Amino acid sequence: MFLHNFKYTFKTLFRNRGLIFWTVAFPVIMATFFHMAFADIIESDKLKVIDMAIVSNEEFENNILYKKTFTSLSDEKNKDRLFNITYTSKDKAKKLLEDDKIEGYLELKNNKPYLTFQANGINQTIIKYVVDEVHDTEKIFLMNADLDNSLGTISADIENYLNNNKVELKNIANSNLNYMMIEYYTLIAMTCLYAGCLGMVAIDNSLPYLKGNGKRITVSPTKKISIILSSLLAGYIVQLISLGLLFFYTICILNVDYGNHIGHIILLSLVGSIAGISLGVLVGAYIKASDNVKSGILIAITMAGCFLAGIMGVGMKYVIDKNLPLLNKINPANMITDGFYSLYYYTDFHRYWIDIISLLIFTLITIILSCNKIGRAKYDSI
Amino acid sequence: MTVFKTYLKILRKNIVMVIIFTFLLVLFGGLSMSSQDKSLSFSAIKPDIIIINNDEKIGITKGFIDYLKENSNTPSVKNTEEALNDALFYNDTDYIIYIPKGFNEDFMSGKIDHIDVKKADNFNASYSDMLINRYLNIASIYKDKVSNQDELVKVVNKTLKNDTKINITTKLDTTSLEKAQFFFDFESYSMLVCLIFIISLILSIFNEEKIRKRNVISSSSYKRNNRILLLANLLYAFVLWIIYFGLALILLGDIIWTSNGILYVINSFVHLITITSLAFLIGNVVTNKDAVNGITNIIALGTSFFCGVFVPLAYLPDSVIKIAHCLPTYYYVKSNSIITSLEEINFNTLQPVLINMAILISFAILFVILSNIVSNKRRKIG
Repeated sequence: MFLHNFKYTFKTLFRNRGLIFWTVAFPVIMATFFHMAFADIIESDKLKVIDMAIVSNEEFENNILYKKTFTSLSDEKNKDRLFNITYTSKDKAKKLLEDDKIEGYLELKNNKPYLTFQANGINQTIIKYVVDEVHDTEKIFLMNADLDNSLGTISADIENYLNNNKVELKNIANSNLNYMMIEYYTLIAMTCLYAGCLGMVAIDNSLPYLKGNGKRITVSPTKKISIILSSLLAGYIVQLISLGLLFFYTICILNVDYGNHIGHIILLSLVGSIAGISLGVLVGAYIKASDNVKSGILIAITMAGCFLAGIMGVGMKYVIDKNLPLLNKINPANMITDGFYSLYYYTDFHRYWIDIISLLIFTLITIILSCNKIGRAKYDSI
Repeated sequence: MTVFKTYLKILRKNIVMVIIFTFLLVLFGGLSMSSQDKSLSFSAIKPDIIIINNDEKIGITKGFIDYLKENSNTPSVKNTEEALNDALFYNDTDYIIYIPKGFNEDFMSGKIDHIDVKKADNFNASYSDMLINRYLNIASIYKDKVSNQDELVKVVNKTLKNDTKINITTKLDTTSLEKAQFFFDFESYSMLVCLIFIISLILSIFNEEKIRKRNVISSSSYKRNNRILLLANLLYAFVLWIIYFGLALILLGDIIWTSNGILYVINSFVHLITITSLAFLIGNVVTNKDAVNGITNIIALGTSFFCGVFVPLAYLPDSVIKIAHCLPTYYYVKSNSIITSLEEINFNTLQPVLINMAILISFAILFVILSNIVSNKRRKIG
């Protein structure tokens, strides 16, 4: 009986087009969207070569310090190149700024630097920083009588001076800092929890108050536990197939890097899917309503969980983790996302195991609650 | 009246979806409004730096920390290694600097060769590097001449004091306008979901074969029914737009009444017309009402990801932008970004916005023609 019911539940689930869309196709489509939209976002955060103009008046031409510095910082061969500079007249510089071709322009007047920007921003801050720095350098040489203050001889060392790190800033941060990975993790969390729909449909088919075959199954001389377990197992297998497809698609086609701990990743997905199925069983057992309402409720719970775990903006997970940690501690979508995050970012597994254990506790509680409800149901013939 | 009543009945049953997505708009729109600093004069971007000081806060250490605090923001993060690492990953901080024990003495005697830092992979972190190097470099130059640490701090500060003159040309309150732009961009997502979901659902219900058969043989004319349906849909779209306009008034305040603000509102109205006709087309194509939810999600999410609603257009890869040219929302979002930077409003500056509006209207006409073709083909019931 176990195998018989398993086989038919499996077939029924696979033929349910709506269900297959949400559990298989939707995550794959979302992954494609993420991949296309987020491909450049991390790169765009990095410092780029800034377009600026310098008014090439007589004063600038005579000021070796400024001239050397900006030539060196706009040299295409310099690996620390900061600027792409247009040397031009003031009117042309103004026009370039108006047309958004440059971020700002520099003019030297009466030995003082004047900067003109259209608005504030990081590029403008960098331009100001460099101008300030050159100005400082000028001051240092003028203030320091001991140093040779003829700018001609100093200028050769200007470049070295500006990039001179007497104290090295040693970066000890983990190099895995791509926060967009969280989007893919929440997507997997979402897929795991969508398993709830499979679990719910499987349970609905075996409960008497919704469908005809539920009534038939209930009156048949078969143990309820065998029917329920075989239905859930069928749901679980369908879920693993859809999750496998998602992993295959994201790893092989979209080149998403989940880190090297493949065993841990599989374990987390397996446990996450069980948690998803048991959530579906819980909703299926406790809420007596039509299929649509039930799946609506389940999808709403899943989406709310994923929202808090960062699917609609990575920052949300951090905001909740920081300010309402308890909420994310009981949110299964976050447990799964956090598990993947800890595998990606942290070198020890402490946080990962806490997430796995939390998921198991969550599953246990939902199963106990569901058993309590399903097991006690009695039907009289009136 | 019967048709209209049925329309309202279906709308009432599905109002939750409209409420959820309107709530999302308020949530995201409201979040971006939280900081209202106006910036018509130059203010340097301040990176977020967390300073972990293991030294006594005296002498050069104190001078260094004061300098960093003046030039950066300090996010409040719990002082545990895990909280700090999380903050770095989620860009809550750009930089963490660990000032070692005995820093001030070691610095003065030149024994310090490195400082541990953790930095994010973005331009703020690169800028933090520059800021820190600048202070340490200048202090290193002076430390052999000025041995008293307090004196040294004074000399360094004097060198760092800048008199670069900065002129900002824009007269626009860009920060507020950017926030308004964010609201109106996101509005398109909520609108897409609310309009496509409800209108397609209702049309697909009316298009169901048995209901259509009933309507065809009923005494009320086919044309009249369709007209009422069309009017009801337009009324619903208009009411939704009015509600969103009200939300914009509450969240954005006076910005709406500036000429840029009014342009955003007009733009969103033109977009509304296009989306309504798109929803009409989808409602006519889709006959299975169970598929409406999936289709709505794919279209709304896909459009929003590709057209710069979730990720700004500037961050999207070129290939995605090319695809976006085929979608109406791209022209809406593009116009919004043009409006944000409009300083002078005249025919010349408005031209690109007007062209985009014309494209939106052309899309609307195309959708209406297509849906007429589809519904004409459907009229025959075999």
